[in-house]
Amino acid sequence: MTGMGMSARRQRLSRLWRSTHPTARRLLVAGAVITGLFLVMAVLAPLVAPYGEAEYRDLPQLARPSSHYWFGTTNLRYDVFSRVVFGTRLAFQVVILSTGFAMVIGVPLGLFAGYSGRRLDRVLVLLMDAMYAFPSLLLAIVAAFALSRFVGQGVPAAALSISVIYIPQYFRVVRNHTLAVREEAFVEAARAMGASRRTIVGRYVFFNVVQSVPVIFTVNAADAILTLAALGFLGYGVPIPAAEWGYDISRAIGDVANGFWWTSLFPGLFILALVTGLTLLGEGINDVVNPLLRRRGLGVGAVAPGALVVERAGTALESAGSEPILVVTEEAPVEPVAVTPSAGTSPGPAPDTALLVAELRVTYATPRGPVVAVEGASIEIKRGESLGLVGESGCGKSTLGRGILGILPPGATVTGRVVIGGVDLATLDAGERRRARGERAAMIFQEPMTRLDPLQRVEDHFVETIRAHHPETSRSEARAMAATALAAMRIPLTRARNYPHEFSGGMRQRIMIALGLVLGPAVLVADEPTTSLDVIVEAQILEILDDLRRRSDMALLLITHNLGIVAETCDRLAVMYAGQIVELGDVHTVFARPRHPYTQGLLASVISLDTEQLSSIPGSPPDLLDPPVGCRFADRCPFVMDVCWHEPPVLAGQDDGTQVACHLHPGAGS
Amino acid sequence: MATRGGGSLRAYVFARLLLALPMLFILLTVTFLLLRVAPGDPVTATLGGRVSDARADQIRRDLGLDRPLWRQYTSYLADVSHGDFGRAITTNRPLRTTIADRFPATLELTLAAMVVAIGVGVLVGALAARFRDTPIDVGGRLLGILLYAAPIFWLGIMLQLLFSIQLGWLPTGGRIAPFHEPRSITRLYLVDSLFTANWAAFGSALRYLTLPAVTLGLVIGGIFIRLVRVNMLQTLKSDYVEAARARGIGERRVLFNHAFRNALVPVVTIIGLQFALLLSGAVLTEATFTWPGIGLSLYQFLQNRDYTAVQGLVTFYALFVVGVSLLIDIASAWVDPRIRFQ
Ligand code: SF4
Repeated sequence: MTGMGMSARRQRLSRLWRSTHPTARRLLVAGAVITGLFLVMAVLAPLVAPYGEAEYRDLPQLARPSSHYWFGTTNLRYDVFSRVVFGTRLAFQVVILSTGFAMVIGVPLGLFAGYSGRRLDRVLVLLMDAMYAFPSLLLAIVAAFALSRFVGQGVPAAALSISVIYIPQYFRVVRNHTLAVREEAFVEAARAMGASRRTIVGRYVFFNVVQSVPVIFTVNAADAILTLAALGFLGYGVPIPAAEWGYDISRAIGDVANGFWWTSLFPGLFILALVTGLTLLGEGINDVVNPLLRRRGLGVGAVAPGALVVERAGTALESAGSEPILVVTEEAPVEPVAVTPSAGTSPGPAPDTALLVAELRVTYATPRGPVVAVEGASIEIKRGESLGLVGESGCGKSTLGRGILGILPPGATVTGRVVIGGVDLATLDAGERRRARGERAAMIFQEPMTRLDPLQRVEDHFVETIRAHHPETSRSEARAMAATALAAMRIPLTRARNYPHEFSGGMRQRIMIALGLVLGPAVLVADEPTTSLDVIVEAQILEILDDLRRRSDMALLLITHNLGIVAETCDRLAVMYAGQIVELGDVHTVFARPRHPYTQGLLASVISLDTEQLSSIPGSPPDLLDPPVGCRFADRCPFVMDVCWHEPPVLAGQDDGTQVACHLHPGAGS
Repeated sequence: MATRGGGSLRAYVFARLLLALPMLFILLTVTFLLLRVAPGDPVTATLGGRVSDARADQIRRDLGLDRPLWRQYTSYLADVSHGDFGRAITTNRPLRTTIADRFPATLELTLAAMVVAIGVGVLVGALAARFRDTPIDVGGRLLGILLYAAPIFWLGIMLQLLFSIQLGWLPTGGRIAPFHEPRSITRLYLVDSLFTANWAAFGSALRYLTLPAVTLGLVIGGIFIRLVRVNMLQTLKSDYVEAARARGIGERRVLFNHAFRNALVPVVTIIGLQFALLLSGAVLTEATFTWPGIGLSLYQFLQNRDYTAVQGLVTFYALFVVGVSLLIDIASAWVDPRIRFQ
């Protein structure tokens, strides 16, 4: 029983470990090894060091490093190597004692302040903040100076002086957790069941704080070693005969002037190595513990622009007679989509086609393996037409939109073909593809509050965009264009020089639309453009979008999870599930007669519950790391048949023009 | 939907000032308590048996140390409020004079170190973020950690060893060659020698300043590398950077105008926090290079166990820290219009 639990736990841990970034992992191991070596040296100091820490029997004075005295000897006939080894021991003693003191003082104070609240809390917080703001070394000096008068100098005095620096940190962590939990409902609940309130708060805070202790400890340890050395250097550390690195370095200043380098070099190198080891260890623990970093390690949101690598994916593929494919490994989200150059095999788009996407496939490289986020998606939108792309979050609809624009994060590989306004993006060079963004296709996003650069005036966004595409345009011309674009979105001209934070969400989305349209693109990709807005503003924005495509012949790709919006705004509808388009057709036809069971489920959830959540379909989408062989919807599908489990259905045209990928309908069996 | 204007900045400054006062009060009280509420009296502790009892009594009376503690406390606060930091027991000089004499040197050193630190931090940090997870990034991060991990005084000694002792290029200590001091205007030697076109003084001041400023600047720069890198990573994956790319803005412009500029905003605030570190570091640097600033005075008074002098200097540091953090906050409110509205 326990054995199984253990192994499952170990498996989970090893998966977590592997999902972190290899560099973070290597640095963590390096830090752990360095720290471990020093720890061993500290424990075994009397065995490692050839001489005692302050033993000078008949050693020569200032002997160079040699086989006898590895690091040389000092002015006072000490063996430098023995001194630095014993210095390690002293450093660890002070580190452990000082963090211990800091916890013993800081934790109860934090609990007390957080628990009692009110005035006392405020005074303590102010006091701790003031201590925290004060230069830490000066704080330690003042403490050591004051202590030297009535305790004298030594390991405990030095540790106590240093601990003063860390008390505010422990205080803060504990106080904030205590405060957060004090009013929590479950405390009341547990109390009603007879547990004492104090015990509950204590236990909760303990478990929360304990998680952050390893990181705080290593960071403080690194800092404590530097502080101890500084105190020693200033003459307020642990006095001789104890071996203390900082003190030894201060004694060596006179040697340096005469060219005796070894007495100061080695103690400093030891400090450098140990502090580096501890810092690497702390950062490593933080990188593994911190869930944020862990998620970033999956590579999805990671940003590391690098050079773009364009490569022909195997001549073998071409000679095998399949469509020649140009693979763009996007190490930078710099260049747009990778595209199949039309080699005459595929038909060109009709003249009134604004956007053609053929067999688009997007793969993310993650530490756990490649994830195909979009699998062979093909859509076509005519001028003035709008297509709604719907699906649950994570189904790949946003990835598809970004794939069209070519702004996928690094680690994404794109294949397939994108033709915008009759121009195949594969025929463009890098600069032209950059300019295609904004000029041929524009994009607006879900969260208008964060999409404008907070440090730039609204007008500057326009000027920058216009001049990035038409460098010959003067600033004043660009400003005039901005004014026209803003006026069309009913943003008063007087506001053009305001900063983004001075606008409401709805206004910002209108600004984003104006910004997207200023270069007259053929296609507008709108990714959940109203999700974060309230209903009235939502209606406004949808009306603007609808109006735009009717009047300006622009094609609209509206990505949303809200079928109601699609019904109001779109001519056609594409339903995505687990990276694939499963149904595609005229909005009225599909709404009247949804064919795919998933589409049916979506519509049912809207009709029956009138909710925006698509939660009424039981189950969850498959893991795209390891997608099922057959139909991806099989384990949630009420009509699942044998064939569904092993044969993937393909998108097939129906009599009314709708396309469906489902074995319930003709043509799905390829 | 507030409008932008000077008024809101003024309101912010006022509110921030109100916050600074209690902090200052607390720092002064802690300083007083730590240094005064110890058994025995400061004069005996400082001078020991070196003076006669009668003389010690005389000094105690002169310094007001014979009065009850709470009286000493109130008069300490009153003195500080009009810029009186007391007198040193050992030198019997008012600390105000010491500070006035030595502050320009500390200011010159810290400003120069800040320039070095920002230069190193911004350059290496931004490069590391831009080339995330490449060898450049790993190298930059390691450099940041190593610089942080090097004890300032040791780094200073190592630089002295190399550049002063081995190569003989730069002096090991002091602020300027004897009799080279430029005519006083700002009392920052570099600035004054520039103003008076005194090139000999300028060269000398620069030679003396280089090693201490580089030492202090590198150590602080280690921290800046990390801060700039982390901030830049944040802004590089921010929504507005993605939106800018979607508009077809060139990559270089995206990097500099959007990612980099925004990454610098929190750095300004954080530089404020690191200012405390800079002051701590300055004490060590000044002691290493016998740079005649306040840090060196503090070091000397510490060696002499001069209680009233240490108290006076620490008090000055407290005032300085609170003042600078105030200035930094106002500066960042000025740079980033969002802060004012919070
Ligand atoms: S193919 Fe089979 S499992 Fe998939 S949706 Fe159709 S009926 Fe359901």
